[in-house]
Amino acid sequence: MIAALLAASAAAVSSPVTAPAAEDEIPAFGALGPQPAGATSLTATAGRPFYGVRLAHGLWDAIDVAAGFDYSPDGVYRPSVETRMRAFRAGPTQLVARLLLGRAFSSTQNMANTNDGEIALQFAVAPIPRGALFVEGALLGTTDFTRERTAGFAQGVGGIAIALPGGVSLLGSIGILQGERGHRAVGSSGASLRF
Amino acid sequence: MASWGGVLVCAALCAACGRGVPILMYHSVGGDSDPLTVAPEELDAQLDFLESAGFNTVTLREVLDAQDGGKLPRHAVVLTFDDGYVDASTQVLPRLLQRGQKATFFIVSGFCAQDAATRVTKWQKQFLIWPEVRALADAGMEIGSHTVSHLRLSNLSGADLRAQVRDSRATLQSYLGKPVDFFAYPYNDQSRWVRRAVETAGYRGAVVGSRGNSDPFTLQRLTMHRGITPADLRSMLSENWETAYTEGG
Repeated sequence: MIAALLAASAAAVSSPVTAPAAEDEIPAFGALGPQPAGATSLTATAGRPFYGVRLAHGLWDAIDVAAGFDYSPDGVYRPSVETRMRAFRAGPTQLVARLLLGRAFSSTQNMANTNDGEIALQFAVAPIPRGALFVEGALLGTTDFTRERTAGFAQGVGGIAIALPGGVSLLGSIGILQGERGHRAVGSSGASLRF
Repeated sequence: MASWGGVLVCAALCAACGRGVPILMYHSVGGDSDPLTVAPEELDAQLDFLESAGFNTVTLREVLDAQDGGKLPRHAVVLTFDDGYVDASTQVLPRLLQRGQKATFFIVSGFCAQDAATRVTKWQKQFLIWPEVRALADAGMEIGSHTVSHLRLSNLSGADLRAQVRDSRATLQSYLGKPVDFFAYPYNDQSRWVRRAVETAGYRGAVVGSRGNSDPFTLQRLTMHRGITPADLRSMLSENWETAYTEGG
């Protein structure tokens, strides 16, 4: 078992020089992630609350890691790291867990710099290989290690992913971010390029 | 499975320790060296900061209305001034009106005289007279009760406690001709039976000091003392982006 893990780690470390995985039999899942071992994707989205770019790289077939940068017109920008792990895949369905850690910086006077965490479960179904629908439930936590600015939030979104030829995918989602004292719509659309 | 349970518990705890609309607790504004007396230029700087940072001053009534389904403006904050010192009229009111801001003034009804000739002086400070209290209310400020004579309520007998809480409200309402729905515990001293007396007297809510919470009868306040800079105030009031976002609209 340990030998297998070491072998897998070695494969992950050497992944930048390995060839990207063969085309996924359900390309739409490739757009949602995780990226297959050795593959890298660049995703750009625009919407609420953030505009974002994210560079993801597949370490194993079921796990990738990403570095992202989000920007909000309200004056918040947030560098983050993220990992996605496929819990299962059966036919045209898959379940993916996602963990994000970030640091939100604010350029406005009434918002504090905080540490953000996000954990999510995303279930996707692909009625056709190049098109998938997904729903995602997430718990968000934020803190600057003061009682006043430590809070939890819940988010639910649904969306669609469409894989185009050439490693390009289109993504769209819409949902609700629920806080202790209010809620607000969230949503984004964008494109992803795998290379 | 256990780890997912842990995540849910953490999220629930985080949500539970979230805060309500920040409520600032001022007392006096002037040149005294008393720590709870804020210098006029400090108040100017703090009110200017609130204005420039996009904070909207609201009343306690608006806060509780929002808890019942009403809507608050973004970045809401409540300013409260305890005791009813004369500087509420001479120093605070003009500054609030100049900026289009509002506040809640907690008045000790027994310290209000009918006119300037009989104005009450206590603790080396002068107190408002009834025409000045009425002028605050007429200017759109919220008036609350701070008892009849500013006694430590948890030391009083049941009858005296009820009289302090009930009579101050009745007196204020008769002078103002409008409901007085909020109460501030003198010395921020409250206990279960004191709270019960306040609820029974018909108030809608009450404020305490830093040991409060978001319960309508123990609303937490942040103490404004001498020496708080706009940077300090920013640190006291700033929100995380998710809270600001989910309350916006």
